[in-house]
Amino acid sequence: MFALCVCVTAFAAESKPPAHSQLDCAKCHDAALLDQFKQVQKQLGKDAAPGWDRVAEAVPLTEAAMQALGAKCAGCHAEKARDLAASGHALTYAQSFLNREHNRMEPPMDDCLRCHAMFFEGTSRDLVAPLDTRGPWRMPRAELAGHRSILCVSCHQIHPQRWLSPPSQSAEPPKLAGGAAASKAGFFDRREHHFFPADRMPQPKVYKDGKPLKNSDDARIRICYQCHAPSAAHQTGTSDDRTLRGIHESLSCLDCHATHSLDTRASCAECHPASSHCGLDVTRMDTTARAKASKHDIHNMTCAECHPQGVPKAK
Amino acid sequence: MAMKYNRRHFVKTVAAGVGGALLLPARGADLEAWRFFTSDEARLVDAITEQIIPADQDPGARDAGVVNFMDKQLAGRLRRHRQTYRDGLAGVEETSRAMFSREFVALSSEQQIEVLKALESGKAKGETWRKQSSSAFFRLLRDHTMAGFYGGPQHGGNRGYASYKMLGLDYPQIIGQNRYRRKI
Repeated sequence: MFALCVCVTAFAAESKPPAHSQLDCAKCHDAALLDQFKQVQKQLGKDAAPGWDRVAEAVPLTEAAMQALGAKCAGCHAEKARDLAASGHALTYAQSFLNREHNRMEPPMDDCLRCHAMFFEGTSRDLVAPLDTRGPWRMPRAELAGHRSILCVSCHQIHPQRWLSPPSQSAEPPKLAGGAAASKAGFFDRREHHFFPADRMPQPKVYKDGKPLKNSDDARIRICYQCHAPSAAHQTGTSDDRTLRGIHESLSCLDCHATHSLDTRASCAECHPASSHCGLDVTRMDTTARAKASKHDIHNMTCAECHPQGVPKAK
Repeated sequence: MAMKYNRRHFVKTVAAGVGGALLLPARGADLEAWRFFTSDEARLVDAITEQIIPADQDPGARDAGVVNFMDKQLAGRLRRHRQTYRDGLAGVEETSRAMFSREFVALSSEQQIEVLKALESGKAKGETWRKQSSSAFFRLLRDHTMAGFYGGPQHGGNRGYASYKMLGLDYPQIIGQNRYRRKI
């Protein structure tokens, strides 16, 4: 059972409340949890002093609770929930951990759970066997096969910053691009049992041939980078890195991808052909990162890849 | 008008909470504020660790919640040191009273440092130090203070990622998953 810090400093929070603070806690949380939280607060005293994590230890949340929370979110955000359910992020544990293509390349390990089973109360050994590259792989606990790998709370910090953070993190974070959406985005770090708001996470620094690429200052992409990350040397294109280089360098992931559906089909048309240099119908081009052989993967395409003899004059 | 979300509102909301599926086991046992330390011991440890890593332009041990780290670990992995701490902290108070006739937390910063220097040198006064070495206890405190300040926050210290911020360490780190990629 993992412990999640719940509303620890709620009583100290006097800042402008976010949208969710208008709601009753019971709208999203189970009554038993709330009752337990109330008891713990009463026993520990105001603000859970002295140890802020004492509440987290005493009020543990289960994976079942987090999975169930998704249904509560969908109650108000039905369209977004539908988009997510139809997206590439709608992975199940079975799809994540029984992926033969991946497992042949790299054995399943605990670090996989960082993105593919953030709230799971166990280890990789509980989810997949054998932990090698030979397989065949199976799930020791078949009942977990349909569990969602990515939940609403994987990328959203529902409570405001001050409720969930240790006191010394309560200072206002710097204003960054991404607007109001950035303030709601947050990554749940499984290792720390803690939400990191997007605007407090590290700005990705990615390099191509030793030179730093210009990256978007949209704070929300910092969450994308936690899972779609380059290898430790931060070279572009390594591991699952999708850093834009070439003609699309410095765009935000969310300039092209819809936030919940991840859909990109209409996004090209938002900029092209209006700003297209060569006049191609870019909306019909093969631009996906999945097509490894495509010259038109928008994450790394350059003018020279299509125009090795030089870029023609604009039409 | 925006609703102010305060303690009263929360309690009111909880009281009005509706039932639902029972996802969590009930816990009826009394919960103490500290896991291992008494309140007095916690105040003492807090004062000692703040002298070992004092706040300057960056947070010190107090801000980083080092006492919470020690308390958490003494209830867990560092359980074997419990008696050493219990006796040693009593010894610190004994030395403090022998040197300045006051409890450690009531001393000035300079006096606290004098007491800690006496501990470190092994010349501390007090019955306790006949049974265990004051310098060994000081080293233990110092090592655990460092661990609590610089270690991962999940262990109870480094609150607010205080030392990581001080050192300019990015956290959480951006590291791809294919660190052991092999060719097939």
